[in-house]
Amino acid sequence: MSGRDDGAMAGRAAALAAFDRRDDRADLAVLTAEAAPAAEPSRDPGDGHRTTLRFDRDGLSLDLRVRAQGPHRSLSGLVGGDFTHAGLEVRRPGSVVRVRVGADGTFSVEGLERGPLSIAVQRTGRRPVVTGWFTV
Amino acid sequence: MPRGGTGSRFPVPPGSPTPPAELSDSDLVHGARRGDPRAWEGIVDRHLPMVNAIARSHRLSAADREDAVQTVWLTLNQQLPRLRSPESLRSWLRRVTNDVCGRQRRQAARHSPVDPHSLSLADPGRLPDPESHVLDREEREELHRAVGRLTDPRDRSAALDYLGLSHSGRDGPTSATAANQRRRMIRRLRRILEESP
Repeated sequence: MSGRDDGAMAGRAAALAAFDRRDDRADLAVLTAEAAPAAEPSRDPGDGHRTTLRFDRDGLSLDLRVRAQGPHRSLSGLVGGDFTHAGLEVRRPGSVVRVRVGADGTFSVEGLERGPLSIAVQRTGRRPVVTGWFTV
Repeated sequence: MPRGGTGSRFPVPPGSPTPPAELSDSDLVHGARRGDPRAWEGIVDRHLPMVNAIARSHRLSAADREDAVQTVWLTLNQQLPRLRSPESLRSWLRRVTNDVCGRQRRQAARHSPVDPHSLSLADPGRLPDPESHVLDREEREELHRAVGRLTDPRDRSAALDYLGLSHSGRDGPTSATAANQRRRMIRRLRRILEESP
């Protein structure tokens, strides 16, 4: 089947590349709220606030704000919960970006290409928590 | 070629010579859970045409469609160990594809460019004034806080669903939220809002 990428099988390579069992034991944070600004007529729809998301898992919360900056996206957010230190990874298909989380739980990352994204939060002595995939 | 299937009639150890196309969805899911890339390939080859057809039916741009389809497969990979009915994989994929594409379409619709000439024709009366915008936002934030104070997770889920804040992106109540549950949730939500300072 390799090499088939016609209409019906478009995206086959990306679909095959999605196979990865490393997070099978991670806890999954569920999307509990999603809000977006109301549509407004604009000459430049490329910039600005796109969406706000919230994920929760066992007392850990992750509030995210996605903004558009021309062809790129930026992500800022707040990790909340009972922990002394958290590490955060922004996962894209085929790559991972490690992001520093401030003492107050805030973080931000800029210059992201559009496309699917998931976030993993690591806390000392606990299983990692990963969010579901969403597009930015 | 078994499509879907009801049980694990062919328990396939990794490296089994049985061609994936001859296995049921349930067998392929179990194989993929064990880490067999051939089983995953079997799932992709069997269901990708349906996922693509659904994505095309949403009339997304090529880039949005590509993102949505990729998100579906990343989601399936993530949910693989948690799928409760592997034999219903096809309907699970159909539902998730529609959800992902619907969200992508709504996101694109909010940000589609407008002809500059038509901006001057926009009726300013239809746009929210700044005061209403701020009040709406405050009301929404207050509701969010009240939902967060509901102690029963079922009430929280029902409230998010009822208020159109759930991840499905639907507006308003759905049949998924039973009438009794809605009434109970609204009572508790009202009490919390009344008790708020």
